[in-house]
Amino acid sequence: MRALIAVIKQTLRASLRSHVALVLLLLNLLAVFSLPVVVTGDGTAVGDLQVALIYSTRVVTVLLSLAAVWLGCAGLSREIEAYNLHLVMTKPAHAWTVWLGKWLGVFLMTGGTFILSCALIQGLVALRVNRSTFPADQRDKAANEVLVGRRVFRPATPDFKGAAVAEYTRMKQAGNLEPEHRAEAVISELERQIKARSTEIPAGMARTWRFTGLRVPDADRLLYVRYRVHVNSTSQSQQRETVGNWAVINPDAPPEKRVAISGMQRIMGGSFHEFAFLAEMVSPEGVVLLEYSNGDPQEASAVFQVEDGPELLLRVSGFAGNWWRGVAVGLLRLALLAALGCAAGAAFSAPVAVFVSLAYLLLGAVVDTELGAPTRDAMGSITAWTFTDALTQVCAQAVDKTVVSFRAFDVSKALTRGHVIEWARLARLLLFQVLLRGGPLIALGIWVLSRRELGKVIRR
Amino acid sequence: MPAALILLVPAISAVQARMNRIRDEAKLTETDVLHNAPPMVAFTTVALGSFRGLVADYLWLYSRRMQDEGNYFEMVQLASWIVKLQPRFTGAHAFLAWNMAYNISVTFNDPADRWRWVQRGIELIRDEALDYNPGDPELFKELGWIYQHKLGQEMDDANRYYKFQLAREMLTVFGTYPPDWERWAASPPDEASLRHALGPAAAALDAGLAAKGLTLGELEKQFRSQPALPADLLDAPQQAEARATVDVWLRVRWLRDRWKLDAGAIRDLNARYGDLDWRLPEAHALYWATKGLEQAEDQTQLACERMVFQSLSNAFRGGRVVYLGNVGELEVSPNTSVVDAVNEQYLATQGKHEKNQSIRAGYENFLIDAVVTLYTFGQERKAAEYYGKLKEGFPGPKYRRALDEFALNELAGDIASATFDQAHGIVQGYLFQTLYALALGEDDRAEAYDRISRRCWDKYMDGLGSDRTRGRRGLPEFEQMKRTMLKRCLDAFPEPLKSRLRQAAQASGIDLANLPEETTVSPDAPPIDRAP
Repeated sequence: MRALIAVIKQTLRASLRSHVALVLLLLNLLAVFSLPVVVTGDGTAVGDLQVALIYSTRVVTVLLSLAAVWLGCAGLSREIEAYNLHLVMTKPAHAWTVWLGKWLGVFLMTGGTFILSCALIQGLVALRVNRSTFPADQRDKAANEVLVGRRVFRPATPDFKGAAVAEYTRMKQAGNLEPEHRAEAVISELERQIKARSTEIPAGMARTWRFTGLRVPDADRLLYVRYRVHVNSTSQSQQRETVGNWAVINPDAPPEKRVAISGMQRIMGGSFHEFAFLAEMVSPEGVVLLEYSNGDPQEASAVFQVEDGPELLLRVSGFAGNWWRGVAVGLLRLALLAALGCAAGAAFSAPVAVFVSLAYLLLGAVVDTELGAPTRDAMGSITAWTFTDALTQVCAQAVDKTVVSFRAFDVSKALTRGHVIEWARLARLLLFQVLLRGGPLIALGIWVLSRRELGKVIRR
Repeated sequence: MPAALILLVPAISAVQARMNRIRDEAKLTETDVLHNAPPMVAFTTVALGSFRGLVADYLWLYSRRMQDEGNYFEMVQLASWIVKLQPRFTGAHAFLAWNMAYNISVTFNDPADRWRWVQRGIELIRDEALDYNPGDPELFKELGWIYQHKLGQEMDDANRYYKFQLAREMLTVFGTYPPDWERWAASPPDEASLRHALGPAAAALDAGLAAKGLTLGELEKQFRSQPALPADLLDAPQQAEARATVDVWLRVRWLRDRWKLDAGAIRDLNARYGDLDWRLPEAHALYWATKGLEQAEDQTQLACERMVFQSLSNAFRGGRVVYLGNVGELEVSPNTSVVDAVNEQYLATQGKHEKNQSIRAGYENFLIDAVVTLYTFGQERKAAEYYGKLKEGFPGPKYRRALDEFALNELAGDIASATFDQAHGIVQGYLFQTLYALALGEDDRAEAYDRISRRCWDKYMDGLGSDRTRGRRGLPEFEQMKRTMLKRCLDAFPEPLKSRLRQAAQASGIDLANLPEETTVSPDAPPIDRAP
């Protein structure tokens, strides 16, 4: 343990001597103090707060991530090249002690700075909110939509596959299919059509979404519904105002308390909206139904894309709790980046190690792009399926399963939208990203350092 | 392969020349030193070199994605950064401003939200892009277009909210309307000149400020949030002139800093075209179009010229605020004082672009409007003069009728298809005739005109149909319009007529003590949105 602590202390001291790291840390401090004050929102309390939060957290995350990679890479490789490590290794200090000490040292350095930066950002944002001259209604909106941790509930997904199979069976029994048809292809097409129909509500018709598993502590609490409806098509340029009615239905309530109706209201197509209702509309089993009636005066369809909601938002935590859970996610990211840097630094010279680490990160970003490539349309049908496409997809999926996915650590959107960062998410990140994917990286770093023949390194 | 190379080399050469020309036209290869740039912009343009184009591209793509996802809160900052990274790329600046003022604004239901985005669009051009490209005619044209079209026309459901808020904000800067433009134009340009202009009163000003623990800069800051001088500053009777000088100085600077409007230029435009109402968007459009014309060439010049005569024409149709009240009560009236200026502008532009038929058609429409409006507002001699111009310029059977017959016929046809400003003008014209007849003691005639004005109001409002269209184009309440016109007539008529009108109004039970003041703002009016 004494050896480990000694290596950690030495790493911290070396970090402070690194010019690159110092520049990054200074830039970080500059960003922390300037960004929450300098960046400009859309002129609303919500917009100003969101823009201050998103830029501050992103810039700090990027700078400290770079610092973690750099310190990890340079810390080990430079000491190997300078023969400093040769002396350490001759002492009774295991390679794993040295590696872990380096890793923990880099993590403590960047993680400590990250915690300090986040505390400062939180303070500056609070200062900005308190000193703002926005009207009370805007400040309330910011408090309800951003300075909060709201759990997101999504409606139960209908059994599209089951419906398609049922439709296929009906068609087959009615003799409406060619004898030589391929069952799989027909069911797939039917499923696509059912999904497409489910996003569209013709004029004069209604659609109901069922939400289950709502655990609401008290009936007076407000639940927020967030949604976006498109008029006729999802083309943004063709959007206009439409008319619709929202009904909130408690399936278990007596008839006189069963339904709460908003009344026909004008809704701008293509933009997100929120409205609230009391949690008393949720049944004791945690079920509530939402129904949208399309009253478009020009008889156009209303289109609800799956990703546009409606989703229910319930306040389960304050901003501070949510913020610090977000900080914890950021710390996990830094731990992984430090491990990546140290693993590369154990194997290569500093420039090569940095190059390898950045390539690893780049690979993750490319994988994201490849996985998001539109080989399938919104309904899940395959639109491009050449051999190369298939191979690239398989490779991308393999890399995605093994390489640490840094996009999973991005919580800036959740924080700016006031979505709660669940403990379960933290636990999943810790288990699947840090332990299962980062663990092998750490093991690899230790193994490389212990197997590396340090005497072969030529002093430059 | 060699043959292909031989073919491709000259082809590349031809394409290269065209590409270079496009780069020059789009100002992508600007090498001039950037003036007026803040340190941040100067630094990024030098430090990032050619890479700033890549960064700007990334920000551009990112902003499109954010917009598609409905995340608008970053758009102002992203647009600002793109402008700073490509300070000479005015086409991009104009697009970003237009995107905020037109595309993003209409994604909101609430007029206050829409107005905020229209303002952000205006600010991007006026406060940033024009700072880096002073005198750029394209930017002036785009800025003028937002005022003329987005605020001035009726396409947007919230257009009346925009007009109301603009009028209200301008009134806050002006204090009372109209300002003494000569005095405003002669206001000292800086603090030293102010002290010089104040003479011995400068010491009293300093003493007054010191007593309050303020500097002149702090007073200015305070003035912009509470636009009135402290009651006890320069309050002695002999200091009234000095107090007024300081008040005007603060307002002129505010007008220049916040709105980028120069009081001297406004005075000149008023002298050239007549008394424009600077609370309305037409005057602002005219201001920026005139600025654009100073540098414009070719198509931009034509666009600016078109904007000048269209803005003047709009100002003639409804370019004077007569009552502010609240959003739905904003009342405008034809500004007949600019009729000759509009006519001259049309003729001048027509002379320059003889083959352009749309200008000629626009001129004919303006002349018809001029005849009808002047006629209904009791300026029959002037109406006859313009009817003569119409007959002369556009000979044909349509204009062979007598003036009375022509004007009444046009009015009957106009009201059903009239724009907001035209309908305003027609109803107000008949109300004016009603009150004029009353003042002359011709009660029967007054009653007839009153009936016609009421019928016109009903017909126009019935033709609007849905509540939504009424919200966008509906007239203020008829009784409000009548009371506003009565106030204007009482202010404008000479004494014998004024007394008779007052008696007639009292006889009809109108409370003369509570007639609307044009600059009154309802306490229920929505708050002014301040820029961030």
